[in-house]
Amino acid sequence: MSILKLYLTSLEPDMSQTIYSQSIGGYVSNSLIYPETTVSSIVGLYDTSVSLDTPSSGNWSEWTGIEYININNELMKVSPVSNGSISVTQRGYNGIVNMHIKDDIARASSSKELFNDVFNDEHKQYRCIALKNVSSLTEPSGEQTATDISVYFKQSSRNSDSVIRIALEKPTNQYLNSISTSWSTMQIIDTSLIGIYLDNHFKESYLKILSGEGTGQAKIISSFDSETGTYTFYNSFSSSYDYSINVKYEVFPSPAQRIKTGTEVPTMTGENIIPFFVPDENTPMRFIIEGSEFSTSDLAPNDILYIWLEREVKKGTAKFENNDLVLNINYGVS
Amino acid sequence: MLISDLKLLLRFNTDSIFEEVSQTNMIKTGDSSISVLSNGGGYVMQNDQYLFGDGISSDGYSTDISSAMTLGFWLYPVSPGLAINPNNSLPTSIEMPLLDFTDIGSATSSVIKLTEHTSETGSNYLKVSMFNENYSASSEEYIPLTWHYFWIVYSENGLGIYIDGKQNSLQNENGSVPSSLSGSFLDLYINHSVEGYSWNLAKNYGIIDDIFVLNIANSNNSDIQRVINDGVKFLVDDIYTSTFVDKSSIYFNDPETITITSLIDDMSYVIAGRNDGKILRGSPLLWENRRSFSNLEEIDILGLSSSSQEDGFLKLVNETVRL
Repeated sequence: MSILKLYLTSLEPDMSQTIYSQSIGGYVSNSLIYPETTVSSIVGLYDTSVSLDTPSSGNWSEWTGIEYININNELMKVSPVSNGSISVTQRGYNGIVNMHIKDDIARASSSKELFNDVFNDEHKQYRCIALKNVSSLTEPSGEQTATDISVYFKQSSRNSDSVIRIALEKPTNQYLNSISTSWSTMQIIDTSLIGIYLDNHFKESYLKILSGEGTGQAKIISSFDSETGTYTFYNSFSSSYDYSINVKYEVFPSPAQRIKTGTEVPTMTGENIIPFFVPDENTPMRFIIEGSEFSTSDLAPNDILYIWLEREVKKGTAKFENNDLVLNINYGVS
Repeated sequence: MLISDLKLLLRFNTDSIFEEVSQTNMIKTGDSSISVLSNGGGYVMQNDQYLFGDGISSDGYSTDISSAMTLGFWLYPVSPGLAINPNNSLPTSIEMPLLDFTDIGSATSSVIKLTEHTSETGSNYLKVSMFNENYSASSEEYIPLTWHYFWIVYSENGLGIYIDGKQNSLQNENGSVPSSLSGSFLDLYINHSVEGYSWNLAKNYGIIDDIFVLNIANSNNSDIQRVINDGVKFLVDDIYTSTFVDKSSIYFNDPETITITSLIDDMSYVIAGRNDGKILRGSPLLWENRRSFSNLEEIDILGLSSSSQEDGFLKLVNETVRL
């Protein structure tokens, strides 16, 4: 079964992102868009108390100040959260009431996050979040692959002065793990990749050593040579490693484009982009390339799809409340 | 394509009450026209009307129910209150018909019957009867005028009633759960009491939607949830049964209170940092002390010769101001 999660994006790889307004493309960060945990018992349609499991962090500190929780599309307004016994002051805050069962994901939502009040001259602002398949990488991995992914708004903003559109950006390369055939301080050569990927297919991606000398060390790839299967890095690994022993390594999906500020319009051209659109259940957004042997809309474990959000407000609008939206991601399992 | 376990499906998408497994229409009895909410919102039961269905060639719906069954539907219940018992003048619960699966061709041999009942608390409860009430049990109470989801599971092990996704404790259980329903082919009545009506037995005028019957016992919470949250098609249509929906709400309001967290005057500009991350730059001239010109002496301080005061504002006449 696939597990998909939404993360903030950041300038550097393998970092936490604590400033929501800086989730404007680049690498997937280690920060979920909202802290989350799981539901510990069934919540019926009209129940006003919810039991949650203790978050994986072991405490509720990330949930301090939380005003809303989101389970299965439903926003609930809640009393201050200090433990897993949640008192709901309003079910269906966004007009959606659902049933919840044990192990459903419950996400904490504060009311003033992701977007702020800084807009460009066209009264727009942009954010980029990453949809990642976090299922464990096991063999065979087919069951963990989310197939035929499509994205749409189950519910757009309830504030009529605020319009949200989304665009999709596919990384140039998805997750890969393999074993080097030789390596040095500035390069890893993997002859199994010769001729399979184009030159610079992995440029700007993040490569991490998984075994042997330098386990856990990682570098950003500056170039990839298809003819020799050679990754070259911007800076070097330690010269003290024993480079005669080959290593397992993994390459993470390439970063999304990164804009300088949240008011800059991201580039919306190229085959890796589906431009801004307001998708609904009948017209969802998905990547399909005609004649392609492989579906480009699948996400295997560790694969990523970037989702750009464009928010436009009407000029002169004084009040911005009820700015919530429900993003649904449909997928199948093989 | 519909799954093979599905034996009856009524989604009330059109005025012709179409049963999708047998591909036949139910028949309306009564004078008023059929009322169906738009976008498949449900069938509005009426005081002078009921629906009857008997499948292909009047042979009954091929329910193929022996020792297991699952029945689900949405219901918007109403409560007509209580009736006065003519014998003792005491307020008494009113019974309202809902669904009645009968032997084919027999208007009186009920195999599975669901009725609603009013209570003194103002709530309703659902009663499930089998084999002409040889066995019956009721649900817990639920509030009328609110949509509720009902999921009823029968197996040799017993009866389960789930309302809004939660299993109820069975109330007023009478008799033993039958080991088999022998329901190979059944007729269906909606909002009809085959025994007739009386002072405490009235027509139902609630709304019912998305009725389905499976010939297996399914009490899987995740299936109940998929039907409630995503729709019955995610349970009965194999195009959707392997489709999952990952849901992510993004909630945000703009900051309600803007505060200045830092301030620098570099002698050319005043630069202010705000708690929402925005940085403002302005002329120091605009930040000087604002004066109230409600006092005429303030005008004198400025040394203006031909100006006057109106409602606290300074009116300049033949004066020069540098912008």
